[in-house]
Amino acid sequence: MGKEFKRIVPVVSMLLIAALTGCSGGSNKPSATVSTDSAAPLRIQMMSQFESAEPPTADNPIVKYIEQQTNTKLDITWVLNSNYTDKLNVTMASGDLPQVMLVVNPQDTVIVSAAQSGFFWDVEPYLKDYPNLSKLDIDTLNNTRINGKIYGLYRGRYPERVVMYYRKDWLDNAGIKEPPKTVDDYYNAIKAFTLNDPDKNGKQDTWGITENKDLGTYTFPLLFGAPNGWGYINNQVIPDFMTNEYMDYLKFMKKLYDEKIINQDFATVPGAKVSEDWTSGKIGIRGNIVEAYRGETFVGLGKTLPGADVHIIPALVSTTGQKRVAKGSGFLGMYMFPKSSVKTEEDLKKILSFFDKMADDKMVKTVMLGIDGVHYKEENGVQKILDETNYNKEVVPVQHLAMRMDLVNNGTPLAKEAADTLEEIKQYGVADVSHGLILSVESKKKLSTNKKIIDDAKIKFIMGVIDEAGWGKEIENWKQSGGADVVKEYTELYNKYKK
Amino acid sequence: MDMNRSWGSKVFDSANYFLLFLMALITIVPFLLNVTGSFEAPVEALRKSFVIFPKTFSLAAYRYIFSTNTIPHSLLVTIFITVAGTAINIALTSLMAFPLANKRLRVRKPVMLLVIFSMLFSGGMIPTYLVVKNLGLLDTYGALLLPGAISAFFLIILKNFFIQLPDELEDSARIDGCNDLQILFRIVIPLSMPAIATLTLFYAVGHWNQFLNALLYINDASKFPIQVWLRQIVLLSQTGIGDSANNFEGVIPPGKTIQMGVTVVSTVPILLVYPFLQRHFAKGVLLGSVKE
Amino acid sequence: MIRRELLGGLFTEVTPLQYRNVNKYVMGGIFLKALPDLAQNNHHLSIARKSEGVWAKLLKEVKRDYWLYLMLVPGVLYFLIFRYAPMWGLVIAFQNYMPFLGIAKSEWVGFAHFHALFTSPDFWMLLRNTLILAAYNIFLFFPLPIIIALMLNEVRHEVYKKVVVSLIYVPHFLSWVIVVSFFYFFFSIQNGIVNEILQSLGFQKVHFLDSARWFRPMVTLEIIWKETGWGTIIFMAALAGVNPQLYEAARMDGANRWRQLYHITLPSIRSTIIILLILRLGSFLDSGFEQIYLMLNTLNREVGEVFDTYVYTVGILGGQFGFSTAVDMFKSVVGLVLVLITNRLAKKFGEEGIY
Repeated sequence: MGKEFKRIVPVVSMLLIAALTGCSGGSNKPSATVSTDSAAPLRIQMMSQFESAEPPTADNPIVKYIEQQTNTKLDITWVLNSNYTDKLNVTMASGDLPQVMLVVNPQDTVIVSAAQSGFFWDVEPYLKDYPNLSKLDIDTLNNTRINGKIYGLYRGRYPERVVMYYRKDWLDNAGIKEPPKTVDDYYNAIKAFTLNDPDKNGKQDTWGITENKDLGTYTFPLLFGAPNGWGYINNQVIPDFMTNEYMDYLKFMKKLYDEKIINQDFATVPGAKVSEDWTSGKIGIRGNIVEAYRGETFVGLGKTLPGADVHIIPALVSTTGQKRVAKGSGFLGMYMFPKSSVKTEEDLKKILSFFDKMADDKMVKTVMLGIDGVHYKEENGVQKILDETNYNKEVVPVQHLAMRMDLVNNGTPLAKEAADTLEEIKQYGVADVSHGLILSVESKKKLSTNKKIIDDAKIKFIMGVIDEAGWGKEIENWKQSGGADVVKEYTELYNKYKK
Repeated sequence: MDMNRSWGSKVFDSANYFLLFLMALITIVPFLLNVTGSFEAPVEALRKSFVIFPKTFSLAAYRYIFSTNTIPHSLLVTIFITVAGTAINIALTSLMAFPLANKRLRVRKPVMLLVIFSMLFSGGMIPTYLVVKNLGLLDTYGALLLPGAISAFFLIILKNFFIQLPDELEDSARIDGCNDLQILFRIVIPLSMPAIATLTLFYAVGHWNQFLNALLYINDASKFPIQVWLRQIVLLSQTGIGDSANNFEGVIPPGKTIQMGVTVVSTVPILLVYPFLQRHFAKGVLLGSVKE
Repeated sequence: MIRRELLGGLFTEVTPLQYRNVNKYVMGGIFLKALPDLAQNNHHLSIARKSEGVWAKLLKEVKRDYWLYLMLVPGVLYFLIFRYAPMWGLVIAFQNYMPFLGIAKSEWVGFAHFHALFTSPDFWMLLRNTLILAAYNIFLFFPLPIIIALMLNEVRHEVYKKVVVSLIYVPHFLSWVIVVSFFYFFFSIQNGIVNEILQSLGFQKVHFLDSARWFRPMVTLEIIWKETGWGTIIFMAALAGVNPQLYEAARMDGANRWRQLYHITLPSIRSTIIILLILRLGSFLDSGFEQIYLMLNTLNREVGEVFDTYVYTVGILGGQFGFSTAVDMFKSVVGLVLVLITNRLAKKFGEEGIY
């Protein structure tokens, strides 16, 4: 019998262990009440995200600094960005809500309907009482509105920020004297970068630009006079692809494709490929946000590609004669406050005053760059990162806490170009009139189902599978299968909120 | 014996060996390119589309991987989950499969229906989350070990394996005064080593590759298995300008070699498990002689 | 914004169907050698006196086989807690479900989601694509592990066999992201190795990844590459259980290798194959979401869009949990019907079914 016993013991003990690990950590967190003692640090439960390869550690110095400056005790659940929406949904379903929720896309059906049924605090009436929050940009605030109400604090981004980066050394090698100014110049540069061997390796293995299946590189319909996303034209809010200018854009792309001066496999290429092509020296032009100049791929390109000389073109002159730059919504996600966990107005005010301090210039800088003297050093307006490794380990993981993203001056020539560019393109912004207008669930459904029709038609047109008449048919198809209703609803919303 | 083989048989053998060689080659080459690529200097790797032999041999990727706090630790977590989880799987699956293989058990059929039905219908993400939460398993390893404790699929396999075992041995054991639990551990499991070994491998691989449960049920990043970081690194390198409005500007995507290195680090340990289980497959031969 | 959602959520949405998909390819095959006649010796016991009540009989049985019942308890508890307790969630197929409201408070919409699905112009396209892809899978992929296992079974050189087996199971451990990126690497029109070779041999380049024509072959090829070796292992285990004396006896009788294969090897794994088929049919409408999603593009969408990807783009990304559950439920019902039919057929032809 002893023998059997020996065999059974491991199994039984294993089950026991399983049962124990199952029950031990049953996270008995203190309930979500805000401490009332004014001297004691205010306890705030937050759900935020991180995007780095490492999460913030428990004793992260930036978080400690924030706590100390704001007299708070932050209890932050850091969620990986890649499954943030899932986590948000299950958290909302479980009813176990933090006091502060970072909502990356406030237009999500779930969030919108929650807001509409009074799930979140309307913060608009309180903003005026806080020195920094009262200075929040009104256009951006308007873009965050859900049915006319402001249900949270946005994390600010420059509205105009997408610019064109190019390789000056390639331009020289290809025999082009001036950086492109117009769409025609742009076309010539793309052609020369493909055919004139700008990397001087004797092989025709480069492109001006490489496109991807999302058609997301620098070539935008805006350059041909089309609206940015949705435009208000002839008393109607219509999508860019319904305009004639959009056809000019498509024809331009088709020309690039037919002349084989753009990658022929773009229809299958994922968006990330652009970065890879750029860093490996396969392309000489790409678009990106202006703040990204600081990244390895721009300032640091010389390391991987000796001689690479990167510059910025703020904006091209579009075929209609003006410079046009896409104006974004001005924010990326917002902090929202569920009423079920922030029970009283008083609690809300305390939390808002925390965010007021977070929106302070000095604090924004700390969250982005770290502690002055430890992670970075500022001299004459130039901010130098002291230790990259340390910066990546301690600062980058918490950057999602930043209330806005400011341009950093790292002292390189490109930094100056970036700063000038940022200043210049403000005036060229073309807004998307649909920003801040929230469609009904029905229309949203139609829009997302129909998106495929147009996405597919674009690529088919460029590749010559359908012609202009075929394109017209696809547009008609889009309208028929719900698109017309969306146009109607957007127009009504526009007349109601924006006119 | 070879002397007796016919000419046709020899041709067949050569063709067979050759085809299998080809098959092995095709399956392994892309992975090998990934391994060699991970040892290339990062700068060099960017320039080339693939690496057969690293031009400048470099451990930079691995040095980075093992300098992070997360990856080496998560590898340990994964090993723990795999070992503990598989042990639980095998114990519970064989415990349940044994009575189900016994034809005189009246509840056999309803229980089997219960099992099969659960293969086809499931409640979905949110209800399952609520069950795990209500059991107090959130943020514990239990959330990674228990929700998948028995696979209906593997249970059916094992049950069917048990059915075909000869009854004579069980009967004689019963005459010796063994109860059913003893029969299971003393006779049935030793006789079923090929099946148990295979299930062990399947379960272990399932645990090794799991990340969905971790993403949903675990908040504490120190409890994340390595697959979470593998995906994070792969996903991080997949953002382009199309997403720039959402791109977090400070984050520099990890290099290509790091990506390849993490793939290697997260794959090789589980690959090493197989040879240890393989001998049990060979033991299946013994089963035949017992069956006589 | 939407695009980031796609990328971000792509690998993380846990739909019931994905949970099952995880199992689907994990299982290249199963092994069992159900020899129905062997385990039947106790059958007469259950033909007891019919006058007794069902419960009384059951009680008697529990008393007799209390060990067996005790052993069933943990497993049954597991199924009830982790599989059946969440099943009330299926109710949301009939609701306009919103997570913050919960099931109790969400709006009841009856069969609206099903109606929307069946009347959608996409429905027939989805059904066709899903069925054809599943057929490719069953006819092209399914037999391969069996064939390879039989081929390996003929290898006498133990070390060679071990090495081959160890190598061919490697791809199974790679995630779909990596597998698909390997395929892009080999088959893309630009710089793809295969296309470069074709061109250097004077052939036209082939749009392997961006044409409707090649979508199904490529998807199937990926599955074959990734899972064939893994599927083999399980048949190998089954084959290892065959009594070597049977072969010896056959050889004595002068049977050549083909006859041995036909009379000994194949019959010994026949029921394995049948059980596997039945279980595979249960998930007939599952297409392996992650893989298909990564392979889809404009030029192959008309043949590539399947229920799983449709649910994701239309249902989950739009926060329509109810709709996606409804589609899932439709798939499950089809699976259930298929399992019941095939199981009955199998029994009719004298095989052991799965229950």
